[in-house]
Amino acid sequence: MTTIPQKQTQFNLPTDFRAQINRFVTEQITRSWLLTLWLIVLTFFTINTIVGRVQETPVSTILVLIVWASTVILVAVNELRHKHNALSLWLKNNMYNTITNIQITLLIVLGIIAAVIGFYNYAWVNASFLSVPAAKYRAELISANSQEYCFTMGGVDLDVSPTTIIDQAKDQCFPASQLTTPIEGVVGKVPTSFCFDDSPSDPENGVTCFESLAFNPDFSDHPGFFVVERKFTGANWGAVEANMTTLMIFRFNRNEVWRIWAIIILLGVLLVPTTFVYRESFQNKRVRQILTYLWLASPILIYLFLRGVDPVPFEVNGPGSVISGIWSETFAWTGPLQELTDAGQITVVNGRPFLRGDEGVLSPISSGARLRATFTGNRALLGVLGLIIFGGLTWFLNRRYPPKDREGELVRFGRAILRILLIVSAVLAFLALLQVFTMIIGSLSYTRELLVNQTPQQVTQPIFSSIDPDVNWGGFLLTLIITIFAIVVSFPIGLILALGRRSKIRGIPAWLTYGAALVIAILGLVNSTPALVEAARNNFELVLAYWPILVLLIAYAFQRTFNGNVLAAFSTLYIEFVRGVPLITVIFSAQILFPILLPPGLEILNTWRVLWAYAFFAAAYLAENVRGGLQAIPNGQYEAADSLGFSAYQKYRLIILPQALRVVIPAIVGQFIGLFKDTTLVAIVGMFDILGVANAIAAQEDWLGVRREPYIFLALLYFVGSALMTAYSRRLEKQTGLGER
Amino acid sequence: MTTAATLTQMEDVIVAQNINKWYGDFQALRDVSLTVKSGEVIVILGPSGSGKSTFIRTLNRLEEHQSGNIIIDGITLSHDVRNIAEIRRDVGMVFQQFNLFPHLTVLENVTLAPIHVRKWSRERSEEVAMKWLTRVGIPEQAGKYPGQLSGGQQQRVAIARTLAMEPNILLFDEPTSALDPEMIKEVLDVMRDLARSGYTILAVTHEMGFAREVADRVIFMDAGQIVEINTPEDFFTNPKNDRTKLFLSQILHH
Repeated sequence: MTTIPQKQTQFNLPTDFRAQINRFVTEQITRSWLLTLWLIVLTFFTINTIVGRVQETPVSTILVLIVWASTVILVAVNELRHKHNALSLWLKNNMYNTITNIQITLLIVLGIIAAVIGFYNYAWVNASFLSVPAAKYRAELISANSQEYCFTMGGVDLDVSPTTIIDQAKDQCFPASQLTTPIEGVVGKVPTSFCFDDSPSDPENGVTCFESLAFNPDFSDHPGFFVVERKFTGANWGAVEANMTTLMIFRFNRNEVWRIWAIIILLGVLLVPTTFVYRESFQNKRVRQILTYLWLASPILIYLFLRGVDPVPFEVNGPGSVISGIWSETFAWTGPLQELTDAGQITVVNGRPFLRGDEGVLSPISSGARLRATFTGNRALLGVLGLIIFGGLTWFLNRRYPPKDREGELVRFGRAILRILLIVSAVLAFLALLQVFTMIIGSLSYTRELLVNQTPQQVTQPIFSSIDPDVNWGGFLLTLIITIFAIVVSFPIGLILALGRRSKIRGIPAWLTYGAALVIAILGLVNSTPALVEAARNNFELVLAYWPILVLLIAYAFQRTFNGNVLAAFSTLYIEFVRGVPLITVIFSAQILFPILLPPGLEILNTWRVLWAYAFFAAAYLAENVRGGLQAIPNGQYEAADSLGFSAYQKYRLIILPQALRVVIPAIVGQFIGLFKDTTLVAIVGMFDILGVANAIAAQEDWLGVRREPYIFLALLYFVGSALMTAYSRRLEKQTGLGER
Repeated sequence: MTTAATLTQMEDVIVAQNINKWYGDFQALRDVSLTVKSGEVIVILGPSGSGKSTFIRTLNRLEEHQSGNIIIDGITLSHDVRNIAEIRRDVGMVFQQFNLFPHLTVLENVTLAPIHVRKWSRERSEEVAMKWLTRVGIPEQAGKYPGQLSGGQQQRVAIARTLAMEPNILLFDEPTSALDPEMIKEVLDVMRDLARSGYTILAVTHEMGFAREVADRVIFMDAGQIVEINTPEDFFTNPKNDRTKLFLSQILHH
């Protein structure tokens, strides 16, 4: 207690200064010879670096040195005075606490500044922004005098005309004082070559060289037309600029780009009201509801734009025939009639089927035949009929015999059967509705001028004509499609898996599991094992012959681990299996293995397979994240929900999941950011996402080997995407964290 | 409340017959039988681990009993989910740890079950909720989140939440055990008020004053069995069972 104030006074004595210096030297420098040696080496390195940087970039380096030295002195003085302010205390604790750190601070600052200046020079000062590739860059002389030379500069299309500038023509003048060497001969009259240097003092800044095309004997009549070579040492952004559309949408049909714009406008229009409609201060519930429905409907619209619908199978002549076409397509054009069509005995006129008689006489098909065909072959109509019949029956029964709380098993069974029939016919009817909807959409057409083989033509085509995803989806578009699809689809799957893994439903009883396993094992041992033992060529195959024993082991493990809970067993196995496999393997399997397993004739598009692979992969990880959140919810919440009479579904939807998901927002968003970046892996199965396109740029003739610039652009794009997701997650956390305050 | 009052006073609303429950090898309840008439207030006492909480939690199926019958309002509690749902709609429960939903405001906590379980309109639910929040004395806290309230206020919200479902039977599972002494009184006042309003109440509590004042019968449990059922006067002044005497001497003279 008494020693502390004594020390304070002692420090203020004049002798204190020398004592402090002594202590400083022993503590910081001479504590061990290793430290001293290290400091000597470090100091030498620091001085070396400073000298190098001063020569390179004197202004910024000296500025940094001044700031550094003054802050070091400030800290030292304040330390001696035992009187720190906020700045010097922070510096002392974080930057300048040892001699080593003082120097390393300086080195790091100098390093950062050197890197920034270097990148700035590379990406901006010395960079080229010409989107015309060097090989096609030309100049045509406008005027020449003793003061300056003016040219029209831009690209040519070598296939069309090597002497006509058509691409991004721009007038530019160069002062004669910038010529590197005097010109021999008269510019524009005889073949000449010369160079301009607009910054002779800077060796890194390139020169612009002109060489008259007339040097080539084939173009001797063009002395005023020049091949231009601009030598840049910095980035070649032209490669990114010229390929911007390709990077974004790759091979998407250029005639249909308006669809992409339509999607962007749609999302933009939805996004603007979203920013304020979902705030708590916004009172109008109806508007909020409508906006939510629009958001839910947007994937369907986006799909329609990106994929289109398959061509309509009936002819369209005028507005009335659309309806008749749909009628014949949906309700009559099936079953037995199809056989006649295949035999060539039916002709379609205006969407109506006619029977082709002798000598080409067309007779309308009788309504009886239509009706028969309709009932025998059309599931869609069956669905509609079923909906009417079973729906009516249910309505009638519910009115006449309202459901009671306690009914006999037989009545309940009957109601369940009716409900199932109703659901089946509802699904069929929905499919029929979808078919009609597809046909209406597909029959919408428009006429516009399109370039067909370089010549404009009036073309009539469906608005939502079918687009092949395998060909058309690529670039950043594909990246976004994969990310958004995987996020949207994996979320519900992951949720179900998480709940499934935690489920405590009454499982298959042990006696049933063991009984079934025993039966299978005995049947296997009797029927299969003897033959296999006979055929065994080595000990390994001999052991394999006794596979039925494995069934018993599996049954035991299933009962022991999961108590017969099939749901938990499936979820757990799925999650652990997928998490145990690298994403690349999953994508490879989807792309190469899966098509082999499909029955012949059934084919699924590459794009769909990859999309689902990503979704299923993400679902397993999401499930574990969500499970973590579920485990954080105290048991009391479940009990409170149960005691208030909530159903299991309500309990999870209203009470458990809102709390559980809020806990895991950071983890889930982190996972989605990872997913966003993992989309680049599709490049290895031959799909062109934005990374694939960036790699392809370097293989283009015009931009051979230009690799770095597209990659920098990509990095920027991914960074912005990830940052947006992080920002949104922060907002979400803040919004939903309201109750925790 | 009104339904409870119109019921004939002699009707048996809870019939428990020979309830047995095991946790693994440990038997938590041994042949517990109890019949409760409508409007009765019953306080269950007993040392910790005696099975009193387990018993009232079997009544609304938060715990499953392995043998015996439980009949509530004439409905037998079984695996049938609809029976369980029906019973839970009629039996309200208040917990030791309140178990409010922290992500919802007080008003939302109270209206959630009426809206989604009773299927009442939002307006009606909010009206009922405000009525009960006023009854428990905290209508001004309706817009706050549970985390912003004191323990006593939270427990009163929990009581309002339970009452908003308009149950006939109320189960209290040590409602004051997690509260500071000065907050116990505000919760006990609400409980006393309810006990006089005609609800059938089963309360597990250590509040002897409450038991003496409002209970129609006091039940003493030990080691999973009902040891003594008595009127509060006889229970506290003239206990029959030795175990009860020991318990009371420890409680009253500590």
